[in-house]
Amino acid sequence: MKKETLHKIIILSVSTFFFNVTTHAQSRVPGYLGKKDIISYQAHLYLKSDVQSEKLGLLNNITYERVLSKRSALELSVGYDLSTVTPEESLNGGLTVYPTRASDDWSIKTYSFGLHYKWYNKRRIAPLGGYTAIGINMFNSTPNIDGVTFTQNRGSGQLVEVDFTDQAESYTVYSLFFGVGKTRIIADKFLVNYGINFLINLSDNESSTDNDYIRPLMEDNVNYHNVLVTSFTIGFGFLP
Amino acid sequence: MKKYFFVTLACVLLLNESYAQDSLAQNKIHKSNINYTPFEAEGLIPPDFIEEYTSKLRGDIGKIDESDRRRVRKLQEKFYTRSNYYINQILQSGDVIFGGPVLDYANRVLDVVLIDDPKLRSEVRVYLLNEPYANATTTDNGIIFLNTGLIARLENEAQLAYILSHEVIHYKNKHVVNSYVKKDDITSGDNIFKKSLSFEQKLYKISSYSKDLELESDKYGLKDYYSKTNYSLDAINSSFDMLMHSYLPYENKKFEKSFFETEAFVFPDSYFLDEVKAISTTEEYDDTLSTHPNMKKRKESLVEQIKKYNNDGKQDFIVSKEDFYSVRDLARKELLRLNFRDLDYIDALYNAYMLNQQYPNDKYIETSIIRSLLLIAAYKNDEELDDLKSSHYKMEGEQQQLYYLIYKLKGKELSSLALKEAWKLHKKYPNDKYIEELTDIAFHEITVENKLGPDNFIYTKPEIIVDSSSLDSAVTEENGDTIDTEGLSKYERIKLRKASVSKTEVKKNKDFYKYAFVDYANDSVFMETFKKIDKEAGRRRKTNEDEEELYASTPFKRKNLSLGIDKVIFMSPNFLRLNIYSDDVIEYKKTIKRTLALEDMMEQTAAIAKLDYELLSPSKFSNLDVDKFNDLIFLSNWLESQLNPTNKGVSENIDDRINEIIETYDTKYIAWAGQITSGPYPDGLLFAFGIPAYTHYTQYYFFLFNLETKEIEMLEFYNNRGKGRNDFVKSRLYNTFLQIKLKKKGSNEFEYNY
Repeated sequence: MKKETLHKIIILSVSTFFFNVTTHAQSRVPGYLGKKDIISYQAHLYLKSDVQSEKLGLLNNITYERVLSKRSALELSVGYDLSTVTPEESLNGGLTVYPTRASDDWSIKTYSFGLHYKWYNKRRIAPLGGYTAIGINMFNSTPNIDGVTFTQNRGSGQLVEVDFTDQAESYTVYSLFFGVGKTRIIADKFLVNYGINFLINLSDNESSTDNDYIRPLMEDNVNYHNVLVTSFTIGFGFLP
Repeated sequence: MKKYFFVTLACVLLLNESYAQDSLAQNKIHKSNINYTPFEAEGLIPPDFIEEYTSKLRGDIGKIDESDRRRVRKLQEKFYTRSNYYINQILQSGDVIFGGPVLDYANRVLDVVLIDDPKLRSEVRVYLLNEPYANATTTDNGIIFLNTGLIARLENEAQLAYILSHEVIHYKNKHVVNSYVKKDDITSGDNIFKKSLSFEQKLYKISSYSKDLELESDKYGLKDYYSKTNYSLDAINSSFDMLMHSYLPYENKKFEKSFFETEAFVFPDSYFLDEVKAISTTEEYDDTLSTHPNMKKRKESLVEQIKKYNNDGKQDFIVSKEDFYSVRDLARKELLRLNFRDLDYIDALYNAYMLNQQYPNDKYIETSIIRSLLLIAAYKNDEELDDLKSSHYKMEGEQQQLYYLIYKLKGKELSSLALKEAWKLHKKYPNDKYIEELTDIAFHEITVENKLGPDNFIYTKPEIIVDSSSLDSAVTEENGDTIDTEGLSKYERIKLRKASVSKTEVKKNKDFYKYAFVDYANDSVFMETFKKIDKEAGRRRKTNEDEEELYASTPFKRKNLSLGIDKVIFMSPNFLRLNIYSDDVIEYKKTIKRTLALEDMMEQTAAIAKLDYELLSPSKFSNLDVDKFNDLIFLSNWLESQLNPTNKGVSENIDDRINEIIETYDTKYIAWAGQITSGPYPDGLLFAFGIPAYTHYTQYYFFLFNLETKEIEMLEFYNNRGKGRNDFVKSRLYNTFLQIKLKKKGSNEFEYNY
């Protein structure tokens, strides 16, 4: 390369930076090198509430993303979370329920389904670069108390063992999903993404059960959804 | 021994021949040089051109002396990192030639110089650097670059031998790397140099050191090598003189106005200087801050040394006098091409004029005259002549006359002159398409740019024309001086008076250009062509068609093209990684690494996009790929000229070469991609909140040229945050390649199925 050309290129480069030319990416065929399908695993990490035994929660998602155009994609996700809960000693007015054995934590099992529409940064071509996603998520949570023996303190030292087996009810929440993040592709086949997600619950936050014994458990279930409102995503994908 | 004696005798005899005989010899060579072609590489590609940067760097770093201080070792490593990068850039710039007659000759001279040092001879390589100024450069790794301008200005072989002796010492004594270390010593204030030195003092010290090295090369070049050859010692001082005057053309030939004049077309006297500026002969110029000592010092430093050697029987030529003139003439023709490349059109005209005196029927030189005239006329018509090297005030010697004439000639006068000369050549070579093309451009300059048609010119000779001798007398008389008319009859005296007045009128006539086509008055083809082109020009002027076409073809407006092209030639891509906080700005290792990565990405992505390609890159060449190397050089230069549209449509005669490339690679499209990543820049928003965040920016560009139409078919340019990762570049390339490959929907042709 000639010196003059080099100088021109440097001048062009610097001037472009200062004038901040905004250029929109053109895409003849959507997708990365023509690859429009992405299958990925995404970990949604969230900070748990006090009643949960771990500080960091993990909602595992398997997603399928289909690139629709140069800047947009549709994402389907299926998630699963098994969250351990250490119930509070006193859960309902006057009646205290707690696991008989200290080691008997119980858990909330959650399935999620999501449908998201993603817009990619105007300077990149989907599924590469920064994105904004919006969609609907459905969460179905069920307390898993099978095999856990509870003791109920009925006052005056009267302790009664109670069994809630088969009484736990599932709880379904619909949420509006909003996410921003970035995607990178490695070696043309693998995808890494990271971002932050927000959920706005569309359903009632109150438990619908009339069962006084179960109700406190369900409140933990509700609590679970409250902490899931903000989560961080790290994903690893594959472009077949 | 006997044979040697006769050879020596023959050389001595040749030396004593007159210049006229030299000219005869040159004319003899001329016959074999008529078919000049631009310089191209020949033979096997030397490793310097194709060896990877990292391997060269490893080799150089391995040579660093471990016993040196750590700081010196570090500096040397930095130097090699940097110098290898720039040497690579020069070698792959398209301006460096290996092999070929000029270098074969230079190597034979170097063989003579280094005959007693075969080891050093095996280390030193000579390449030709296609630059018009007279210079020779040596690199730390043993490459000597001889400029075309130097070869063109040499007076004899001995001068070349002395210059090579001088350059060899630079390499042998590691002057380049030592200068780098010394410069750092001085500027950083380490070592014996104190930080208290002022900037000027530091510059002075650097300059002094550099000059010492030059004197050392002069001295030891003579002592160790040149004095041991049979080359004449006189060539030492004459080579200094030649270098001192290297800013001038290679000869100081008087420009005769009759070269362009005809009986009817006569330039006004005021268009010529009475006297041209004398050539400066001062040897003792101020060299305080120069890298080289002035010529007086250089000559004086060798006076005593030269006296030690006997000059008897020493010669100006040992290898071949004939070959010397042959390669020098080749270099002079190449120099003409470089003048055009560097937009030195008046120099080109002067050089072509000088070559034309020597080779009056060389078509390349004749067309160069027309081309330079057209270019100068076009610049003049656009009032852009100041953009070129055109100031006659700065000129010395006979070339000043031509610069002055160009300065005085108006656009329409120059355009008329250009058409006059172009048509003359067209008549001489009626089947030459390139000359026909130049003639069309000349008509365009007249009709469109100057709005002149056939009716604006006069086709009869001025009433009375006298020969120059009586003309001079007449002018003299008119100026008030007396002329000797004694012995003339009354009638003769009246005739002389009448003639002088008429000629004076012609000479002072502002409209002298109107007589440009008097000689073509009876040329019906010229007249018809002129009328036809003028008619078309009139229509174009009315509709502003040119401008409309220009806007219609602007590639920037297009999006998502479907060009339906199956194969493309990829030029070696350009990549730059810039660190704005680094002293060198360019991050050499990363730049080279990413350049190679970009090449690989282009290949991989083209394969995915099913776009057929041919990548022309030195990193992919084997030593047998000299043809591809030449194609790369040619296309690089072609691209350079396309990206600098300064030739006003008067391009080089390269159609045959372009057709050859189209045929070889089975495509008429060449693509050039590049990426520049620079940073780190403060990240605006976060920085505003006091968070020291930095970011990089990457510019990506891609050009697709049509070799046939010389148009840009596609141009993509993106500016993005970030360092331009592979995925980003590949996605860009993929979409670019698809736009090239895919055919338009709805066309009858098969739509590529993705």
